[in-house]
Amino acid sequence: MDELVFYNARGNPQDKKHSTAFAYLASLHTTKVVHQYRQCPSSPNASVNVSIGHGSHLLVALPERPVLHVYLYGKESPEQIIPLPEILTSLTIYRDSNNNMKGDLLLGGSNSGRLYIWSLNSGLLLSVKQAHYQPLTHITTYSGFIATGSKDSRIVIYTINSLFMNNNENNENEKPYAILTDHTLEITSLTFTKGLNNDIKLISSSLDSTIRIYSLTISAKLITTIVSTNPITSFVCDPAMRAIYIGMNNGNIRYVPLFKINPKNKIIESVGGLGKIITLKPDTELLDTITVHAENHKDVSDIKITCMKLSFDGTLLITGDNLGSLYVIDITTKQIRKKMKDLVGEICNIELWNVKDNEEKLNNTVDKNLMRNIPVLKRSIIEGKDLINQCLTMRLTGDKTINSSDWNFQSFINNVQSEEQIFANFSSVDSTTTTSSGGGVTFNTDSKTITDLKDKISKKDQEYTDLKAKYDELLLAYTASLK
Amino acid sequence: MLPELQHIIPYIQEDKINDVSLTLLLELISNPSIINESSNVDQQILVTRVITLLKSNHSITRWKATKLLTVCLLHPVLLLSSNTANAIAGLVKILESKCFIANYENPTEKELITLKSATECLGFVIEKIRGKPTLTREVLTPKLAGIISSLIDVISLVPEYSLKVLIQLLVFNTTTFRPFGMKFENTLKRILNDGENLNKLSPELRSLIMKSLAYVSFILSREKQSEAWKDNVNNIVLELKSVISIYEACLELSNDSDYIDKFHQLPKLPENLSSMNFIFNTLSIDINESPIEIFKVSQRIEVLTELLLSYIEINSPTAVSIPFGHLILIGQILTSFNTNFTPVKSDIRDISTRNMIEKSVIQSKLSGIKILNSLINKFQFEMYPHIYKILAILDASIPVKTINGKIKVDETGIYENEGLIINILETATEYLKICERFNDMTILGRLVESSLILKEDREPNVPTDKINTSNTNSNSRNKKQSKSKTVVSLSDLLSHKQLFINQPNISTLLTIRKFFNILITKCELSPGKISQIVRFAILDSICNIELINEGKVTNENKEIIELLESILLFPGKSSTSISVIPMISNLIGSNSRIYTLLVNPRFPLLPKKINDYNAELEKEEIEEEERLEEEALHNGTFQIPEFTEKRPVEEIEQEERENKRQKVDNISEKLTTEGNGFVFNEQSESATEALNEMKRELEKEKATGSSLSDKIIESAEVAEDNNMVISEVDAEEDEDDDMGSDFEMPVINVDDD
Repeated sequence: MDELVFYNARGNPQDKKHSTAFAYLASLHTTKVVHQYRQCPSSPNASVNVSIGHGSHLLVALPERPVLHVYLYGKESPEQIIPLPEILTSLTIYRDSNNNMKGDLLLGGSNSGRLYIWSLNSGLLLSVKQAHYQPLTHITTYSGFIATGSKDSRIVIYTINSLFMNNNENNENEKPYAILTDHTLEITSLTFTKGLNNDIKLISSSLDSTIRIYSLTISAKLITTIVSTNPITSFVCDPAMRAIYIGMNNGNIRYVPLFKINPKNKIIESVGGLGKIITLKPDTELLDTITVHAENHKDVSDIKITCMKLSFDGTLLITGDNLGSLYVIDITTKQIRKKMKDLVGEICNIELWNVKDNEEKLNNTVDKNLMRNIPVLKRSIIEGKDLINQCLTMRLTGDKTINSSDWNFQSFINNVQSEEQIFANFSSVDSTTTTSSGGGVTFNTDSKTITDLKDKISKKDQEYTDLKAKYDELLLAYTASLK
Repeated sequence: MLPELQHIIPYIQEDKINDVSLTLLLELISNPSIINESSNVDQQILVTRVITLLKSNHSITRWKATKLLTVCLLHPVLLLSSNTANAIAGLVKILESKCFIANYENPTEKELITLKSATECLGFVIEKIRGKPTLTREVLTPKLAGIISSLIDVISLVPEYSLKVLIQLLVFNTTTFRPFGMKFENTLKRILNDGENLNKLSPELRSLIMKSLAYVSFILSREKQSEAWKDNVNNIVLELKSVISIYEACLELSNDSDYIDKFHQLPKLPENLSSMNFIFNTLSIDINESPIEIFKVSQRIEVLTELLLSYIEINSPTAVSIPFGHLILIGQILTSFNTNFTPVKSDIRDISTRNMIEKSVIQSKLSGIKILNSLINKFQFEMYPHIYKILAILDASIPVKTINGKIKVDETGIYENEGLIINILETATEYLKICERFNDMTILGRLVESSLILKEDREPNVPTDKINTSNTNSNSRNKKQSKSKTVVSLSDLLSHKQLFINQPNISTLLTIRKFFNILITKCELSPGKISQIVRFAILDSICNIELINEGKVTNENKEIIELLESILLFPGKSSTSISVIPMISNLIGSNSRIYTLLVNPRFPLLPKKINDYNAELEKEEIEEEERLEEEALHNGTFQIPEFTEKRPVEEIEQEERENKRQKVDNISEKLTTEGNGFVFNEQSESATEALNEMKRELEKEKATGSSLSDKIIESAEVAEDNNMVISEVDAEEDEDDDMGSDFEMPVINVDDD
């Protein structure tokens, strides 16, 4: 198994042709760079790979223009450039929780605070919501929830139900599931925890130096506030929710455990909950702080951690800063494991994909039937008529009849035995009929022949009885003559 | 030691082959080392002999040869030999001869099996060769035309097997298949016979035929396959539309504005219908002559629906544009047929005709449900904008009757149309699966009610009144006679009524359980409905207590246990006075992983950071161990507390202040779901063991007077200093002290009101 890191950056705003804006898809554990994309500047949290490998698309919303670049896997420059209604400042895909390679809904947050929802397979604009007053900074989705964070310091949570499944035709009046107004400055990052729908929590970070954890069990309720020493520019959660790693605007990464020892009774208990506020003390001895970024850019004063991801096993941090550096950091030793290729501008997106070793779909193969483009995203919201004429453009797959069958010797043998039963003769009577041709006697079984033969036999019978009668007569005469 | 190939070969000939068991031969030949260690000559002899056997006059020998060939070609050495081409030729010959089946009315089974086996073997060889460039070029391609035509010839004899191979050839060897397209298509249509034969085919074969028809209709066009695909689908939509319109003649559809809207939103039928190239011949129906002919309509709809759906189930070589909206529309139109709202036209007077029409409408409705079901399975999230409407249509399909001005679900109607209701419930389950927290009960009410009705036992329904009334008219002697007869036949019913009660069958229960499971996990139900479902789940599991087998999951009880576990995990929003956890614990507690995790929650094993405190923990553990051991010595028992539950007092108080209501019962449940209310010792077993061991060592050390124990304690103290840099400030005015105490019971103020 290998992990692929996809990352891109904002690029240089002066560079109108984006000649310096690259994106890379590289292996996390080896030195291999799988793929490179050109002209790929992105707003923060505004790039998304629909899936990975052969035939997949990468969607990138440009920071300064209302344009979406669509890349086909295997091609460096954009395959398609789609005009958008507004500049999108964040982008994500609503993924099936059963299959993260599949996603049909594209969600975009705009400069003016709107949330757009497109159907990726038809390009129809399904819904538009005026969610915020300022540009959206991050959209995250999980299990029927869509949470949007914005520069207006609010978080708005929608449910899929409220967006689509309303009774009345116009869905303007549908209220969001919750509006969270606890943060006081720009929201920088949002994450849903994994799990059953009624156990979901939403974690948000903001420039107001707080991380807030909301429980969505019954309604959105603030259960923990973590107050940091510096404004938080990004964060990432341990997959098992044991810790949060927060990236701050001084280039440091702080480890915040979600379980700790109670000093009084020496029992491990979870940190926070029940509306508690956890204030982090300044970590002067740097026991819980990773200072890799600050150390590597000693001469720069303004350094922020803009993007963070955790590896599959939760032991490696992949962090990007506003100077375009991306490091893979071993959490235990707080040392750099690997430095990825630098980019221009702040790192805006990091995605991690698990792939098998030497996966075939990662190689570039020529396939003329490939679906090169995605349907153009519509700029006006659908009406009833559009929905009826909706056409999905997609490659149909999943027919099991043409997939190579799973041949297995044991089931083959079982099949042979059950078939052999038909040839077998379990009775003691051997009724095999051997038909021999040529040398043997041939029978003509015409009905005429049969009647002819019958006639012959009856004639012969007659003759025989006549003869017998004569014989008897003669015998009688003879015996009489003897007497 | 394995036998060598040269000792096996003598048995591979016509007169010897019956001396050895075929299974043994196959097992021997399938062994790679037997083949690979034999000489090249022997390998060739083996294959040649098998090929000779293929040409035998006896079906059994040919059949055995196909099996031997399959096993031989498992080995790359043999597959790559020059004989593979001959083997294919031999197989094709078997197919061409059709095993000398002269009588299509009554083919003998042995010959059919031989044909089937030859087809399968051919499919196997082709699959082995596919993708290998030289083999394909040298061996497969020259023979392909022969293979295809011979396979098409045997479709009528062994359709399931030949179609499987043909579909693959159609997709992977499109160019070679092209000349045979017409013949193939005609053969398939002949089998279908305008849909008349549909009910004579097994579901598997049906789907194979439909898929083949779908593939062959577009994949062979030289250019723009996707255009051809789209045209074909649109044609079927039009054909379906034209068939549906037949119902306008017998149902009051003109009053149904919804139907008219939807019908007109479908693509327009051309002025001249004869210009359309419909797949099936036009229907000719005269319900005045024979009312049963109305079923031709529903049958045609069924065929067309299946064909339509097979178009979206197949693999398309390129991206295609799917008229998704129209597909949904067709599904909706068919599903919303309901003779309650759009009754049979009043000018059709004959009651039996009216009944026939109603039944036919129900069958068409089933086709509609089938469309909706396969759309949700295929397109999932794309269905979001339509879910609401579709669920409403499904809900409206449940038969109802009016009692005292109130609309109620019609029980008899539900039992009579059990198949339909089951289909509706299954489809609704699929739709609810992609929802989360679905809370609009107005469009689920009847579905839930109908499923609650279906789970009940059915009492025998004997029309006793009718018998009595008919008897009064007949003369006295007859009356006496017939009465005695009736009495005999009814006596059992009266005395042993329980013997006549039909229980819902297993598949019905399965559907209901799945439906309830989805309701519990994906919907926000009213407390009343939840308790009804919980009641069903508990009673159902008690009825099947032997099946449940203490919660050990098997194929038979999977759904029952899943439902119980869902009830555990989704207790619902509102507080119920009685918790079902004890009951579920008694039912599946000993084997359910979810149950044990629910009552013994634990934290994830912590990362390395916490390991710093191990020393401290160890010390504490040692003390605890010592104390416990002393206790155990006194009592003779040894118990380790698993965890202690700690309830957040301040939250409880606050909530009660807010609500002024007593909510004691559900607090613990709520806290469980919120996940942060527990505090317990981290006691992984291995750690405990290690500590035990350490403790024993310590005691030994103490006994010997060594200073090692002091050292350990010292190091533990050092570790303690290495404290966390986190302080806590409580949001509430409550002091921090509460958090520290162990084994604390919550202080709950129970308001008097």
